[in-house]
Amino acid sequence: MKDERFRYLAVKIHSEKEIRKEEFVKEMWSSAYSLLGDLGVSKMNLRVVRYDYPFAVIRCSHKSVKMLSAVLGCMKEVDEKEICVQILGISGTIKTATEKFIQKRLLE
Amino acid sequence: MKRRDFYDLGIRCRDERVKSFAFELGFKDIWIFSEPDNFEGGPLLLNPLNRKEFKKLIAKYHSKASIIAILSSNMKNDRAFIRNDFVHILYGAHRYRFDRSFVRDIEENNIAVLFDLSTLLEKGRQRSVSIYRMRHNYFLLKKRDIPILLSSGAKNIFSMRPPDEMIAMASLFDMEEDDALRALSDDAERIRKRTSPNYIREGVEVVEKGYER
Repeated sequence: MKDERFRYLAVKIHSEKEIRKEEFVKEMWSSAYSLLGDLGVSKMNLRVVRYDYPFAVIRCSHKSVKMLSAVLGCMKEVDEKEICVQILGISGTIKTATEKFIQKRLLE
Repeated sequence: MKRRDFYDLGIRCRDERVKSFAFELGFKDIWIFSEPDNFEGGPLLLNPLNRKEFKKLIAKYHSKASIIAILSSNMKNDRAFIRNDFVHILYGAHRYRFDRSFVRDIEENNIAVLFDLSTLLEKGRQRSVSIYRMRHNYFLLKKRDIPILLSSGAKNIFSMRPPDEMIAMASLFDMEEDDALRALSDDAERIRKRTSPNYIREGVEVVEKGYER
């Protein structure tokens, strides 16, 4: 069996108030289960690998990038705070996702 | 690869930060729809209950609004509304299933159909039903090559979604990526042209004005 390939999505979270990591992760899983069901989520291999509000890096299997984009698009609110998750870029490594998309933004 | 400009032509949020936020998300331009209560010019969204009210509203606003959209309610009323020359957009394709004759009417009257993605933010049965109807309507509209618009339908600033996510959300009702890209850029651009003073009708516009001697 081949090793699973991942993609890392660098995202920016827009909200009026700061969102804690636990809240964000909980809502992301809830949104994923609601949209795709247990079977769909099991194929995504979803995980938040870095989180430093308002930026985060989310891992998923390389085949489910589009599904994860839809899941993030369907996230409406976290703990009654409205949010909008913007995908800054998609990469094959955590390092590139962080350096190319997040740190570059911070320097701008 | 051709670089595209994206447009979200169905915003319903009056927040003053909305334009700068849209720019940050990657949109070139947006349209903010007003309702008759708060109308101050620009695009107008009408939600008439019956034909009588519709006629009154059209008579009052057709010369003031740059573009008029009708919020979909039921097919019987909408069929009458879209036959009016001043209506350009049918707003929302998730309220009911279109049938073939309705889609033919849409085509004949040169109406664009706007898919409001804000309905996909609701969880549960409502979302499932909306996705089912949008899938059905999308396939009927695609067959007749009717211009489709995608919009976040945002009523507040954080309900807006970036173009990439809107394309991914459109894939939930089996909209192809090329069609979604076209809906956000080329078709939207085409509809935007209708607000230009040089626009006469589809395919006819003033390119250069002559001068009297």
